[in-house]
Amino acid sequence: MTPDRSDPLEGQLDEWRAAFDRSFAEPRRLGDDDAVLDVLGIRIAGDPFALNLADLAGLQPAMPAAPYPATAPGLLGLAGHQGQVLPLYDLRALIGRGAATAVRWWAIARAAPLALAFEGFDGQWRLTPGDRLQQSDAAGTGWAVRCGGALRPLIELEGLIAAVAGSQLGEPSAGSFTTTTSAGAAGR
Amino acid sequence: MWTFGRKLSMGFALSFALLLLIGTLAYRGVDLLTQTSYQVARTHAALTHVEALMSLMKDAETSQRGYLLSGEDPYLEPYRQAVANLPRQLAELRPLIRDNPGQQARLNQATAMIEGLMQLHKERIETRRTSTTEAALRVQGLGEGKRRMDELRGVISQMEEEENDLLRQRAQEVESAASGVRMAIVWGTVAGALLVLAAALTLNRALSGQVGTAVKHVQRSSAELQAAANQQAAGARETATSMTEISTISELLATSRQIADSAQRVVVIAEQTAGLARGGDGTLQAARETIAAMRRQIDLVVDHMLDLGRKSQQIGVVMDLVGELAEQTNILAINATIEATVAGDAGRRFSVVADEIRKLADRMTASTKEIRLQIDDVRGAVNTTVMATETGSKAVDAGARQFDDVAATFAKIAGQVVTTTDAAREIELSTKQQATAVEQLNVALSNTAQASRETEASSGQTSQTATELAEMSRDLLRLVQAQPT
Repeated sequence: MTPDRSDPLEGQLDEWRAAFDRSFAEPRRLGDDDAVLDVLGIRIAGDPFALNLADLAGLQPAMPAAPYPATAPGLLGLAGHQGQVLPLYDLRALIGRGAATAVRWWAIARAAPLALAFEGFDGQWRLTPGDRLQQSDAAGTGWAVRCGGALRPLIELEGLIAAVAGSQLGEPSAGSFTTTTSAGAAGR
Repeated sequence: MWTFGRKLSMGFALSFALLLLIGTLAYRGVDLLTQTSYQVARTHAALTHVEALMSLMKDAETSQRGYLLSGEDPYLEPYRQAVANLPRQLAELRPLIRDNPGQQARLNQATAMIEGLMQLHKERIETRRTSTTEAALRVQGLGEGKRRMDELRGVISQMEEEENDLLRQRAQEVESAASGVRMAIVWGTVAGALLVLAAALTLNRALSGQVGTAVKHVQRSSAELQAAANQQAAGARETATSMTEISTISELLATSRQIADSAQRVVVIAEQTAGLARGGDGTLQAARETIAAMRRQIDLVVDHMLDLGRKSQQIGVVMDLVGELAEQTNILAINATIEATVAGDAGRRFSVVADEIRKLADRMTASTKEIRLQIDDVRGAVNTTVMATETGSKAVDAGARQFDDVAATFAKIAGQVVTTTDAAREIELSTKQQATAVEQLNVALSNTAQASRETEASSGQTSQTATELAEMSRDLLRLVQAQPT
């Protein structure tokens, strides 16, 4: 190990140790919990997206889905989570980006008993309200979050779940899903 | 074809045989003549003795008659001489007629008659001495004596006739022998003359033919010899001139000595090179051992690096495990956050702790990724090092092989240097021998020049001798042949 590389590492180690110790020393900032936004950074079709952690009931690595004989759009099969059998939908297909080639993660929705499969998981960020930006591009949901210096479109799961429920009831469709999602996000 | 000498010998042999024949014939004729003359002389002696015998008998008769008549003693003197000489005459006559039995018989008859007559004469003389003349004359009848004397004369005449016949016979024999000798001389002379003439003709023809041809050959050969001698003299003169003009020999001698000196220096340098090559061989051996040690160290390094690679791989596996744990921790932290969010206010504290755990998990994941990158770097460096080391090992092997080649080449060079040293020594020796040979050649060339000059002089003498020989040949040809060609 060369000295010019050991010094930054030791500095980082010291910084981490100091931060860890500081977390015990500093007073808890419980008053501004409302302002805290926990987001989950995911990757769909190579593009970064974000999910609101409050919309989720769990995250787990993907496992082989049990096939289910149905023709609903985006339905991949059945998934098991903490003793429950949930329908598994392809998040990429639900946001209109086509069928996913290989899913590695399942996110369990809180609002409805269903699971969403996506391709990549980048991390989780606890954001301040200043990191939440409104974005007007058509590809996103109307909102974007700044995670690690990069903007990620925030996917509004409530609209998606409503769209899935609507499609199961015979309602259309991907276009209304986007509108609904945008409306849901705007309402929030 | 008969040679000249053979013809000459044949002519002399024939002449000798002819002379021998003539001599033999003449000798035999002379011998016959001599024998015949001896016999003639003996016949003449016999005739003389017969006539003397008859004369003595006549003297004795006459003497006794005179004594008878005179009675005087002096008349008896012839008688006494006859008595004294008759036996001697008879003794001398007998050998002369020994070869004629007829004459011997007549001589015996005549001897008896002579003895009878002499006895008669003696008796008459005694009678006359003792008696008178008349008585004696009466007693002694004279007729008896005359008769006996006539008989003796007849016998003597026969003997004389016989001897004369012998003389005539001898004369015929002499004539015959003389005729033979004359014939032999005449015909032998004629034959000898003919033989000599034939031999002369033959020898003359041979002389003017064979000897003339030979002399002409000698003459032509003399001319050719003279020309050859002139050419030889010219060649010898040119050779002598060339020999004296050759100065390259001296330069060659100097060059040979320089080459010998250079070869000697080459020998010294080659010996020094051989010594250096032997020293270099030791250095090469040490370098080879160093290379072998380097090869072992490289193998050791390769083993260590491979071991390091394996350990890095194991570390990677452990880091995978740690990464997996960090990811699972992260997922658990996220789920804990989710659960804390669901718990509402009661979960807020827990949410903070869960966030701290997630941060640690994130840091762990990041560190794990960094460690993985570094481990990958280490493994890549190890692989690169192993490959580089193996390349180096191959290079060392190649270097070792090249070094072996260099060592072998160096050994060959050392051997070649030894060979070069030997060759240089041989060159030095050969060059010295060459210098010696060149010196000998120089001496030989000087001798050759001297010999060429002597040859030139000898050729002059040869030319002169050839000229004299040609003149002698012309003289001999003139002597042999009447007309010069």
